[in-house]
Amino acid sequence: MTLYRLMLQSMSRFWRTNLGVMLGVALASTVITGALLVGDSMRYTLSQAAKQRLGNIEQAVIGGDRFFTDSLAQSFGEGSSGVIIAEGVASTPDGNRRANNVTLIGIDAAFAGLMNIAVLPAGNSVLINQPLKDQLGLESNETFIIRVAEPSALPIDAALVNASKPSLALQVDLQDYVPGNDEGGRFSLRAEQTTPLNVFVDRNWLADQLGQPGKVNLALSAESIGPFEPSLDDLQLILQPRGGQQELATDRIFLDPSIESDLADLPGQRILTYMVNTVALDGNESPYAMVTAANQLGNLDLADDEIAVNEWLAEDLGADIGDTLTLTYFLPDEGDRLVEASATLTIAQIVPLEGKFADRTLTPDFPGLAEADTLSRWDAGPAIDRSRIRDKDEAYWDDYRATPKAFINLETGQRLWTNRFGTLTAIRFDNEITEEQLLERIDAEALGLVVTDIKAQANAAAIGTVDFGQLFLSLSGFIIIAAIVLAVMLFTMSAEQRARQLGTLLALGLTRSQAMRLLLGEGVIVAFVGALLGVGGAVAYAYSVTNALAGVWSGAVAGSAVLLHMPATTLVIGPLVTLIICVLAMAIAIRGLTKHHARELLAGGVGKVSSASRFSWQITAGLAVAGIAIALLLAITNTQTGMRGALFGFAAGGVGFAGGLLLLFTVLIRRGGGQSPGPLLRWNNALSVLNLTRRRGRTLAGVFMLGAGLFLVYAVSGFQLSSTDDPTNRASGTGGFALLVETSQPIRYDLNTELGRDHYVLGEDELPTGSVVPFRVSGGDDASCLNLNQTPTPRLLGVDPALLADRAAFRFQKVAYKASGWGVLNASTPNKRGMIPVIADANTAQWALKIAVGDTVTVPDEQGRPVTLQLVGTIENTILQGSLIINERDFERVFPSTSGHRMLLVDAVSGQAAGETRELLNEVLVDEGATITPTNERLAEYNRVQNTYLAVFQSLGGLGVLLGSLGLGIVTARNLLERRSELALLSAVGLSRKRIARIVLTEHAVILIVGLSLGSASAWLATMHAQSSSSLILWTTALAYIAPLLVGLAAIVLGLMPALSGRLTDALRND
Amino acid sequence: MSEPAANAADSPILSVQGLTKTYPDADGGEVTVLKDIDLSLHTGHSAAIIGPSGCGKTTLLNLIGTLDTPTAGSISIAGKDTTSLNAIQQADLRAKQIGFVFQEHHMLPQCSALENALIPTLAKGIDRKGSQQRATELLTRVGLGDRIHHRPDQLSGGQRQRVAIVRALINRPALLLVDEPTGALDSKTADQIMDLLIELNQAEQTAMLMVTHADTLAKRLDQTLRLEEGQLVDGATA
Repeated sequence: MTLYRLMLQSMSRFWRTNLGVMLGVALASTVITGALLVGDSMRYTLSQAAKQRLGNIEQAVIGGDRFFTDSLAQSFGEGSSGVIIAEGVASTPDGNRRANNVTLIGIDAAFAGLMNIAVLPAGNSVLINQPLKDQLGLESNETFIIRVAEPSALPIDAALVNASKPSLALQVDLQDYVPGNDEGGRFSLRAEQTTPLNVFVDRNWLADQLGQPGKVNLALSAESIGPFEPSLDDLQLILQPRGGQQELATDRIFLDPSIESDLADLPGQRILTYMVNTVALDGNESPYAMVTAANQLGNLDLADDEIAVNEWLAEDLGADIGDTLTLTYFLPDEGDRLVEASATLTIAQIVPLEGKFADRTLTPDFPGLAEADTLSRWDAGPAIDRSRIRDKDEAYWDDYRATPKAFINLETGQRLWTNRFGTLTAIRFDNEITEEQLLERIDAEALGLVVTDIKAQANAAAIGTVDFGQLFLSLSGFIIIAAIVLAVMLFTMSAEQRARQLGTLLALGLTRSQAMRLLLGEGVIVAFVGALLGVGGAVAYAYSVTNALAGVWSGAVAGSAVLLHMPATTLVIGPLVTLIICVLAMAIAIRGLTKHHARELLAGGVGKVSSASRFSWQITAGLAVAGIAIALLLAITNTQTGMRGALFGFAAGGVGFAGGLLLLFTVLIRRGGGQSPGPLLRWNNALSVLNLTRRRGRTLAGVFMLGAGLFLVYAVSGFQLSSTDDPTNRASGTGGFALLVETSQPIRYDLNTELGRDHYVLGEDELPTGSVVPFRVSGGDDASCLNLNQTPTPRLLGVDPALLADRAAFRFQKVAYKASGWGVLNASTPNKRGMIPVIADANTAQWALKIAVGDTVTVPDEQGRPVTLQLVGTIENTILQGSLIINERDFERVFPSTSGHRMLLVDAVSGQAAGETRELLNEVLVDEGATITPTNERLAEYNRVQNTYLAVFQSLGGLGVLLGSLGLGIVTARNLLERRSELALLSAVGLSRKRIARIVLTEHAVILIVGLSLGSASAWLATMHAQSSSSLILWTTALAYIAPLLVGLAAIVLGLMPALSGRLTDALRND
Repeated sequence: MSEPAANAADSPILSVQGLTKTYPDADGGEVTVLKDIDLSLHTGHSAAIIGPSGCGKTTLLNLIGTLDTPTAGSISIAGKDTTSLNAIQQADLRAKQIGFVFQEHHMLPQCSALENALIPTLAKGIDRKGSQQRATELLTRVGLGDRIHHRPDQLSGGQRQRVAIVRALINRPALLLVDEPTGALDSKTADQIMDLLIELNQAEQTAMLMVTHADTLAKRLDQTLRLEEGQLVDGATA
């Protein structure tokens, strides 16, 4: 005889209970392991998507709007590829079929190798991927059009650029399709699980079309990119002889600020030339004059408030030394806003129009300048009013082109015209300088040539925003808890039933630890087998859930397919975790049992009868009534909407549930607790009541478990997000806007201005002034709940906060300091601690970025340098999910080259249906590739994710409640078998079998009915505020009550049968 | 009947002095169940404690068997003061020095008669060598040689009690504590069980303390002690 043998014999003897325990553990193991497998599957799916979108690519240099030479890309190692990538719009020639947000990718053979693309496009024949094929419905060899923005040396936000220049329309023929998975079709630099719309085109052909022969804006490599040596050409810099010196200039007109500091040690002439709209003196005006600011120019020695004019301008204005001129000019980086500023300077010198002062190369090659044979024909956009140009101006142009007419010192020039694009237009060196000497000094990274480890970023993103393993563990929590509670309850009941055995063992000399080992060992073996059995169930669970995520629950994953993946580690860890949880729960449950004296255990009185309560029933009754009254009051007066209403309602339901439970406690202590039942015995079901009261703890626990389960599962209905509320309500998630416009190409003009409306041929009545809020958009990733990937570089939106503040748009959940609403974005820029203030949707902050108000997040700026943003406010459940919103001024500083607006929020136009406005904007913004979505539809898209989570929770939680009801039947059976001698006694004293059945049925049905009633009544209170908008809640709650009630009653009846079968009185004769 | 006088000069195997046990009552006061009990018992000696129901007989037995803690006084078994022992030491004492026979015999239903008899050998520090043979011999001796593999539900009440007696003796205890061993048995079976107890007590040279309310059974032991109002009154010696 050994303890182990005794353990096995006990297992065999009590096989029914052990089978129940085993099944409970198996179910828990099924759900725990299954949920972990769902998490694995999601991570696997995202990592597969990451592999598919990057192929063999490891690292990249992303130029964006900065082009560099293909030879630099080729220098990054064998197999590296230079690529041109651009966003555009694809459409059939008749314009009937259109696809926005198309990525045009100019590729070479090396790219095909990196991405395993089998065929190469040639000439204007292109390859497209499956989603684009589906969207455009193209046939082989069919011709279609792709519109892309022509690369511009100067961003369109700069003055002197014609922003109205049409996008480039490329006519291409469909050559072939690129499959979506491992054959390159999913190529994308964005960490998003949705397949992009890709067009692959011959790179050289595309470069020619874009006017960038031999250039690329993306380099990809299958290996780590080591230190590299770009040329000046790669940095868009030009070293050329000018004015007898070597001059460093740039295609981008303005030299980046870092260049000035990098080359500060090289002596030379720093030049900043800009155009002023008017030079005025005493009523005389001379239009459109170039003015050069320089630190040295001939013998000029000008003070900060002085200017030198050439003879031509002096004569034109009738000016003399000592006169005061007014220069009026557009701020260089205000684009089509055409914000004018002026400066007053005193003429210190009149210089001859010869020598250094007649150097037309002091003026940079503004776009279109070189091609203009007359000043009037210079296509500088709205900056030039041709009606102001006089014959004499054209004559000057004929003779001197854009030769500067005035000169100021550099400090004054930079004070007036320094902009986000640069601080100088050229540097002329005093000494001979070579390209190598310059490159030694210039920081290429500061100019955007930054190596990005995109494979590592993709792998990090593939971890996912939401851990679906944890999510489904939480959503399946009720099933897990119900299964474990059931297993542990059966185990504990079995242990309690064997209390006398335990007492015997202790009395015979076994120690408590031996007794504990004996009992727990049995539980461990049973739980071990159960946990192993659960592995099979886990596979089925994961299979079912991944299928459901592709079907009825697709809203939770934004429609992405999830691939089932079952790593061996999870198949070990899941059951092991289940085993540990169950064994710990068992150990805790029986710990109390082994603490009893052997004498008590031998007497068999452990865990049987509740003693008299220490609480006064009058006090508990008072508290219960107060609780219920408060709950009713809270529920009736709950007029809040949205999340607040849901929380308020949940609190009402919770208080009501507690009050109801306290009322039941009062009844139990009033009727039981060792007191004489008295007149109760006259009542038909007196014995049932006595049984309920004699085990008060068990009765309350049963009611609590069922009631709380039902309450929690169905009270969350109140958290269902609705997008059907009034979308014009400024405090709603739509911000009161009617439409959300997103474009593939930047919108170059502000639609709030007359100029913008003129450009798009829109009348004031069609789109009134001030009805649009434009946003600048960075190239980061979508951090909304629709993107399952982690987003280390979330998308930034730049907005003028006043436009939103004036409307009081969106409801703030939290603001960091005492500024009201959007005003927090106006904090000094950057704020005192060097951080840029940012506002985010509360869901995006909490779930995707995992930050709270006051926390910081770091994103790369245009040059790849880290910029720290501080979350200063959150807004509630909005259409602005997925982005971080900063002040437009901050945005321009961080992303100086990102021009135009790519997102608009549009107010409803009075007297015009939203559909009409949508139609109108669709027409006028066709070249920009506008996708126009009604805001309530977008909100519904976001809400669908949370609502699906809630639906999953309710479905799985409902199963948990059903399991709990079923468990009540199993516990009934076990309980009655334990009390069979008691039933036998009732039979012996003459009660009929039917009467006995009614007594025990009543006893257990009361727990079920009271538990479910309390739970559903509390859930009803919690959702009362939302019931007017959703009659579904009523039916859901009703179903939630009836289903477990029927299952529970059936289970109890089935549970009665074994105890009441056979000759009851036999039980009296057995020990 | 043994010769208690032969061992009288030896130290008693059981010595109880000033034993008192009180319980809190429902009114917040105390109920004294046992008061200042003195008792000693030598090896080979047997004594019966008699008294009406509820007089504290079983409480006294539980206190001596270390199944309960006294309020005052001392209990010494084989020279060890049981009140100063911790739970593990008490368990060790019960395993090695004390044999229990309960009124309800408390069989483990999942075990056979032989296995039930062997349960005390599972305790720590017990040499199990030969224990199975001894259990078989003892079971045969008590007339259950053909029932050793039967489970409790296949045995009569008297047979179960015999298994309980064998179980109590399996570790050769110095002290046998017997609580109403015949309470649920008919008179014939009760006599047989008493015969067996007295015989084995002699054969195994244990000291036996029996609680009973049957005077006829008590008179068959060396000494009868009467428990009245929580105090021990010397009775007739056999």
